[in-house]
Amino acid sequence: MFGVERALFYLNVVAELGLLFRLLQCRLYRIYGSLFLYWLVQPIESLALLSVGRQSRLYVYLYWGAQTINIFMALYVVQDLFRIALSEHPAIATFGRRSVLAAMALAGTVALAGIALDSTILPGHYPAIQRFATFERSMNFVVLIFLLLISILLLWFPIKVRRNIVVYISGFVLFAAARSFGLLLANLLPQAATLTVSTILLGLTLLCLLIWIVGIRPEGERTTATPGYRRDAEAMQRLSRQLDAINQTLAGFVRH
Amino acid sequence: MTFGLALAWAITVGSLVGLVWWVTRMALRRRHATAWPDGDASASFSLDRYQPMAGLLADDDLVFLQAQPGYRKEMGVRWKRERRRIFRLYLGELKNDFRRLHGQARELVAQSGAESADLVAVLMKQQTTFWRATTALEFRLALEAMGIGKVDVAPFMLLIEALRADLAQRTAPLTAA
Repeated sequence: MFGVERALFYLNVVAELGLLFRLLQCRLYRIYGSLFLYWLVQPIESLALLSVGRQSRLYVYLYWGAQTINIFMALYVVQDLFRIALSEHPAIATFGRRSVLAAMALAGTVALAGIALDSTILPGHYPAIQRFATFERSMNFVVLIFLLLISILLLWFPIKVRRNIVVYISGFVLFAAARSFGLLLANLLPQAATLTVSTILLGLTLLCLLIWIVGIRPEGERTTATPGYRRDAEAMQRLSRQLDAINQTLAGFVRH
Repeated sequence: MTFGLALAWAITVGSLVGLVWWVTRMALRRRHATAWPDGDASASFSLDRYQPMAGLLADDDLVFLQAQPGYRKEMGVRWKRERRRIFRLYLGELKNDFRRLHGQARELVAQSGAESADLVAVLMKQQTTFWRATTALEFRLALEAMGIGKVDVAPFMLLIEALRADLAQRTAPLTAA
């Protein structure tokens, strides 16, 4: 299993470089600057980790440092994604900017509720490593919930987003879910299962990278115009009146 | 497993499953949604179509039926059951109309400028109110079917009134533009 994990680790580095090349080749690195930056940092971190011995204390510190950077960068990436997705819809974008903190707070509250899930430290586990994994998986859960909330907002409105954004969100949902639940499993299962969990996690990360490499294309930037009204005050007034009338009718039934 | 741990699992798994279910449902609904012509749903909508609903919930006809010679209790039960079935058919139509009209309102706001940002929250509130209202109505209809209480929800009515006033106030700048 160690050999497979090692091979997946190297394949991930290759795929990260492949994604960076793809974003440069398609000239999408400017539009998806945060994603580009996120995956630019990954191979650098991987090389730094490879340069020190796996069993050393320095390796643990480097790993913690790298993952902390990754977590905060992931938060930046999803917020940037939110901004890009709504950039062509000023009204919703303004609302989004105002409510982004509320969405983050909601996601944080849900993640905080699950902090006790792996509070028991099993024999063979290191408390410091387990606590860090709890922190990391909770932050990934925040990202996951936030991405799902964004998806609900995008689907609720008739917003036709660029295909690349759909691929971008889908990949990050899978990535955040994998890391969140993978780390939870690693903490809940005996020490012997850690290598298996780590191998599966690397496999899923590779899958996300492949989704982005294959899915993000220059033609995916074409925006399909949303059919329907342009800004039409009269239509809005009529719709509002009719929606009110429906709710008033419902209220009327209650009186009987 | 302690209560706290069980609650933590319930919140974590429940919130995730709930959100994934919601996203999937919306994505499927959007995929199968048919586009309507500009203004069609709004122009063809008339609340008059739902006027008979009020009569369906009134007791007048049942009182009249009970006063007739040969009336039996099972006739009243069957009459009430039929009345609720027809009411639900109307309610289903009303829900469809609300979805179409609200969908058009969302489309309109999605195409609007930053000055209409407040309307996003208004539409969200309106949607939530409608969900709550219809769920409460369905629940009370189910209770009434079991012979418990009547369809009478004063707090719900106050909520609708508050919503109406809020929407009227907030849509004024957009309609004046």
